[in-house]
Amino acid sequence: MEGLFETQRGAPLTIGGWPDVGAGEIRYGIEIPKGLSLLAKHDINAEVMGLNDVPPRDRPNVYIVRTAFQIMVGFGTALIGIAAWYWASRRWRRLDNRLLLLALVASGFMGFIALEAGWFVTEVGRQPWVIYGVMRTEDAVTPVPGTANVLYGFSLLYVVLAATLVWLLLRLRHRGPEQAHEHHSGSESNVSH
Amino acid sequence: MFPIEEMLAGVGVLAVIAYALLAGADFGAGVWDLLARGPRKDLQRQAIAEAIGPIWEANHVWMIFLIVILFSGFPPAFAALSIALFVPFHLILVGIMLRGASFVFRAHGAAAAGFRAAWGPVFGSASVFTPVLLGMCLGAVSSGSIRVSNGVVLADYWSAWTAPISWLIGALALIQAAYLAAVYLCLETAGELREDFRRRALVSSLVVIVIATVAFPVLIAEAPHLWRSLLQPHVVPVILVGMVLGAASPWALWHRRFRLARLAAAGEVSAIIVGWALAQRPYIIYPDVTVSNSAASRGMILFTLWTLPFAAALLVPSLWFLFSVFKGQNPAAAEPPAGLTGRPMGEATFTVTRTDRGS
Repeated sequence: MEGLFETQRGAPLTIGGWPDVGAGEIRYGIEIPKGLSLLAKHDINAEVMGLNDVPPRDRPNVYIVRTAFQIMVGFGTALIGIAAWYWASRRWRRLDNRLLLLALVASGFMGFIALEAGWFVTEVGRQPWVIYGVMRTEDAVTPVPGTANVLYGFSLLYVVLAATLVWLLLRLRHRGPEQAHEHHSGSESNVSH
Repeated sequence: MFPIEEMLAGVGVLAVIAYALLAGADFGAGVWDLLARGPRKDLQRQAIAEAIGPIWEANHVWMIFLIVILFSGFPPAFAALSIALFVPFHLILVGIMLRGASFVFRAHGAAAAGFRAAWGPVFGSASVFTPVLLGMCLGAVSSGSIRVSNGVVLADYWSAWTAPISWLIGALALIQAAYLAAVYLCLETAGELREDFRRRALVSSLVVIVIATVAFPVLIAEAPHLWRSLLQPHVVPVILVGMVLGAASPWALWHRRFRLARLAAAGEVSAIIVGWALAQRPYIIYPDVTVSNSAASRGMILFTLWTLPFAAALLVPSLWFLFSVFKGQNPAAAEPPAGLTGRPMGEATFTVTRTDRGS
């Protein structure tokens, strides 16, 4: 997840950069000494197992997992930052800041992206196991041929449905507020029933 | 006392019945949407949309329930089914997705004529092919075309579920669904609209009789084991009850006793499914996968059974509430609702009717 290759005591936490799997290192990252040992084991001198001690056939895709993890943690941290920024601005009555408003709008998307990135971390990070340590994904997959086409087909179907939905929502937005209100009162009386 | 795995399988059969009675009618309503014709074409479609609008999503809870029972209680059967019936299961999934999506798209995009014209037939045709495929899968597990040997599934991905017997059961499922829907719709409409659905129900009951008559010789020739099981002394009475109710329902409809017709129709479908399940017993997939040889560990079965009261405590009141709000004391049954006064179906009429019902 953090892209540590060598098993070591007092392992550093590397932020950013790009893993070079061939050389077994992270290039251009910012290292926080002993950070990983502290995070993973709550002890700055604890030993953390590196990827090199996992047999190659049991390793997940380092590029995807590490990048997704960085995105998840990065966006999560940024969200905390934006929240703090908002409360500080509110406290000192500086809310009419265009940058802050843009950040607040962006935070809606960032939450979703962080969530999806988290799924990439767990699902790709679990590979090659479908049930960790019990069953490998290659043993769990259906023997039915042509599953790739099914994936393409369903992806296409979802693209069509999503495009239709977006088109429909845009159309609904252009309807007058009068109609929107009428519709709203209709559903409201349904609830009170 | 039944073995516990048989109890769980019995719960699975109850889920099949609930799905057939509720989602079956949902599919059937889609069939009548596709076949809507005559001077009250748009009113028919509107009545159908109003009848299934609030509940179509909830009805699929029974299929999910059945899948969970198979998955956790009978994993080898689940694995064999998802391999052998890979093609129809995915087509069913597409059908259910397209049905739901097109139903919602159509309701909210009503003003755009081209949009409605494009998605309307999608809703109708998905409502036709999905129940046919479900019936075909049911045929496949009974006919013996899926073999499992040492955990390896031996089945042709196409011919396993496309034998004549599967087609017949698929056709029966479709017409039964259409019949159920028409009978239910009689209770949700009034006046000439009700007569429309009454006529449709009576016609489809005749089609059921024709298909069932064709089905018997095919069943004897193609699946003699199933035919013999159906003739067992503890199965015959159940099937007979189903047939008597199957005759009583159109009779009641003929005499315009709609509530009785609905009760008999639901009873008929339930009895036929119970009869099929008794004949199928102890097999989940004839002839290799049985309830006992595919059952999960005793602890798992017990756990699943014990979760049922909790699931029921959550589900039953919610469903009761859903149906009592949208189906109980339906003002539409006594007189035509304000929306059904002849205006073409559209967003505005929708709103009027819904507001009306709320007050």
